[in-house]
Amino acid sequence: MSESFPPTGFVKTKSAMPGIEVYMPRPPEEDGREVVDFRCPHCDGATAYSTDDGGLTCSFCGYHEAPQVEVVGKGAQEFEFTVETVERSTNGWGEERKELVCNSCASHITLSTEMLSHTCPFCGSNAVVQTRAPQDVLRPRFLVPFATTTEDCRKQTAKWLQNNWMLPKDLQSLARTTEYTPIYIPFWTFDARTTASWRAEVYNTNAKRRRHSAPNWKWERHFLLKLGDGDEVWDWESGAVSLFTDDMLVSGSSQLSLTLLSQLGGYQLGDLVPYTATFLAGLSAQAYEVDLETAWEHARRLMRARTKEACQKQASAQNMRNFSMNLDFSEESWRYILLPLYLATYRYGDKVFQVMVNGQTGVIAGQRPVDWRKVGWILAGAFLPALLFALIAAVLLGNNDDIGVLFGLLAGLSLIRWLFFVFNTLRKAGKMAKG
Amino acid sequence: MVKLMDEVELTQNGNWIEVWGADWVLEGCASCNGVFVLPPQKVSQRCPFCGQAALAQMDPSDDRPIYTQPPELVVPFRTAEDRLRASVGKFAKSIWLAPADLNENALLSRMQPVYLPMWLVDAQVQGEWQAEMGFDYEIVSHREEYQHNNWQTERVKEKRVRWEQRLGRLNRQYENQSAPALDEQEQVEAKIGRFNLKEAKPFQQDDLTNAIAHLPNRPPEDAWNEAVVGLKTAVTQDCRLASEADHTRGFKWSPQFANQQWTQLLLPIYTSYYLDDENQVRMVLLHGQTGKLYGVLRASTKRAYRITNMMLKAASVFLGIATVLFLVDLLGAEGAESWITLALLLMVGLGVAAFLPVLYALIVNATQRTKEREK
Repeated sequence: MSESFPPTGFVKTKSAMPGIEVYMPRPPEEDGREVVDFRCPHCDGATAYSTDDGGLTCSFCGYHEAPQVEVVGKGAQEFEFTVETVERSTNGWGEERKELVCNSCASHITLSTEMLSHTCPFCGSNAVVQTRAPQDVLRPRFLVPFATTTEDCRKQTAKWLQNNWMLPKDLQSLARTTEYTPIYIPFWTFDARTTASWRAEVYNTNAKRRRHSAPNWKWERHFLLKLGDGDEVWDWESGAVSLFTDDMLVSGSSQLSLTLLSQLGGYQLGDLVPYTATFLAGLSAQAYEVDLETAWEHARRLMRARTKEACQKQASAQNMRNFSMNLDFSEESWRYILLPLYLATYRYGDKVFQVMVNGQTGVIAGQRPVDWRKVGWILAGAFLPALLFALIAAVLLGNNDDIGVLFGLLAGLSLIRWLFFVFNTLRKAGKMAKG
Repeated sequence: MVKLMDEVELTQNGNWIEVWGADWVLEGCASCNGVFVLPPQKVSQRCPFCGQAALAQMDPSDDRPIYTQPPELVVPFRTAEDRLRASVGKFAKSIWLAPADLNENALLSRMQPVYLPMWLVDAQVQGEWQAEMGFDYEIVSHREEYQHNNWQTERVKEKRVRWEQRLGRLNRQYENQSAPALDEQEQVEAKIGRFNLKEAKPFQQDDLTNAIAHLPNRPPEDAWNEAVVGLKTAVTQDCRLASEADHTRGFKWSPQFANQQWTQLLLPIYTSYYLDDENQVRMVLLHGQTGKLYGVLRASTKRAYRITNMMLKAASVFLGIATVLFLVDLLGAEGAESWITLALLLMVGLGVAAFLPVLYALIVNATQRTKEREK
């Protein structure tokens, strides 16, 4: 069989029979399972992952270690929902890290050992209490490295803070002073095939029924729809749908605003690389708070809604009743990944505002303060034309001048236009403030 | 390497036979070359395996090999007598025009319990192995039903197999791997079915009461290849258990064998026979565990010819009657025509039917001969 025994890459494992030795392939190196000490080989100072050039950099002597990145993209290994996986949480973080619980917002942050003092990126609070990192978390296997720098974030923020007239004038100066914290946010990705069969009573016109049975129904569509009015019937229809959902992202963090996350424009998972502790050196990374089962339940809700929509689209008409469907999930798999995000908080007046920048694409989302005094003055100014037209109309109508009616109409139109303006302005201002 | 067989000269060492019975003797069949050990009251009877010749004490100059490896395990007879009787009775009545000797009583009176040999080998197996081992695991999936604006979710578990590479080394003693010890073993099992070796128990002389034991006619060297197949199956199973796996596939090994020890396993059959028209012996075999019977059926052509002869004679009588009535009719007698017609019809009917028994016997015998050749 083999020249030397055991062959390379095999390790001895437990045997349940005397007289038989069993060897198995060496399990893949659990990257980061051991404690990794990121030290500069030149000056022994601490090195940290640099989001600027994507490698380890020493902040003392400038030593730089180029990254060894092997992009696996969407081919990154996916895992099944084994009973053990669902019920078990294992491993933890490879690098020795500490988990901090913020006293102010109660968010959990996993930090490098040297980052004992920390400003919470979610609320800006400096008051944190150190607890032991839980070892019962699933290990992240892949991540998307940072592709934007803090300088990009500042430029983006400067633009973002001056692109709206409702913002306070002095806000732009904050763009230079805002500190961005690069942080890896936990995400779950889910794949699944949903196979469904459906049945419903569909409200059809006889013309529609003829159309669906006719081989050239597309040609007949428009005028037959008209012809069908008043000649309706409920038909039982049925069908089947099979959809595959690839890499549906569900956030594993419960601290981040889902609205803000959705404004970040998503991530390109083609840039996934295998997880190594190097990528987290000196950076923050959040452990998942939304566990696999809960996230999968959320993803299933979205998938079944999509499947239901696809089933209903198959019907000959959208007006239906007694809709029922059976749905089977198959080919289910998941990944636990980390995605890069810059988090920043800035204080304006007495309030704290949260900003996020997609660490891969640079798309920015966040909360911005509204200068309500400026908004009030603008709204008041916008009301002036309506007021002016109303006064003119009143004077002219008082003098029995018929042209006063015209000004009255203009005053009415201006008022309606102003009301729309007020509504839109307040809606936008509310969105800006809430993010 | 395979240990050389223990062939002994009959005259040199006769003590080995005492394992079977202190007063047992060794006899051989001149027709099938079978060698048997049997109790003294059974000597010189017709060969229980082929039935073609009487057993005779073996001559010292006889060059047939005698394998003296002792019996270690025996599969006991467990077919009830009433089941045997029913099987034999059904067989005897399964043919029309059976030979006179093919009857239930004759077959039962000649019924002889016989043990057929199988080789058992113990061996030390060393070597390397590799295989893909399959581990069962369960995944959690979901089925959902939407009705009346509500989703009903059902959590289901599905079983899957994860295949992983395993390899290793082996150094184990394997005992009692079986291999055929008779050249005719495959034919016998094709006729009456395979034996359930799990029922084997340690050999005791009491098991041989009234039985005759057939000694192997296949040397262990010939049987070794089949034993290795069985050893590989056993090793595959053990490697699977060692790996705590549920399935295995693609098993490969590079074995070395040592310390082979050969013994015998005895398989139970009953044999009987009947004589056909030509006084040829037709063997009947019964499985000692299941009672399944195999025997060659022969129709009696003598009986068939006898019946045909009688029917032709009867036809001749009707021909005579028709002739007489014809003459009477010529003499002017009234109403003879209808009797003539009836007599002629009976004559023709009997004349045609007279050939059916012969035809039946010839067809049955030809069919049985074809079946026999196929077996």
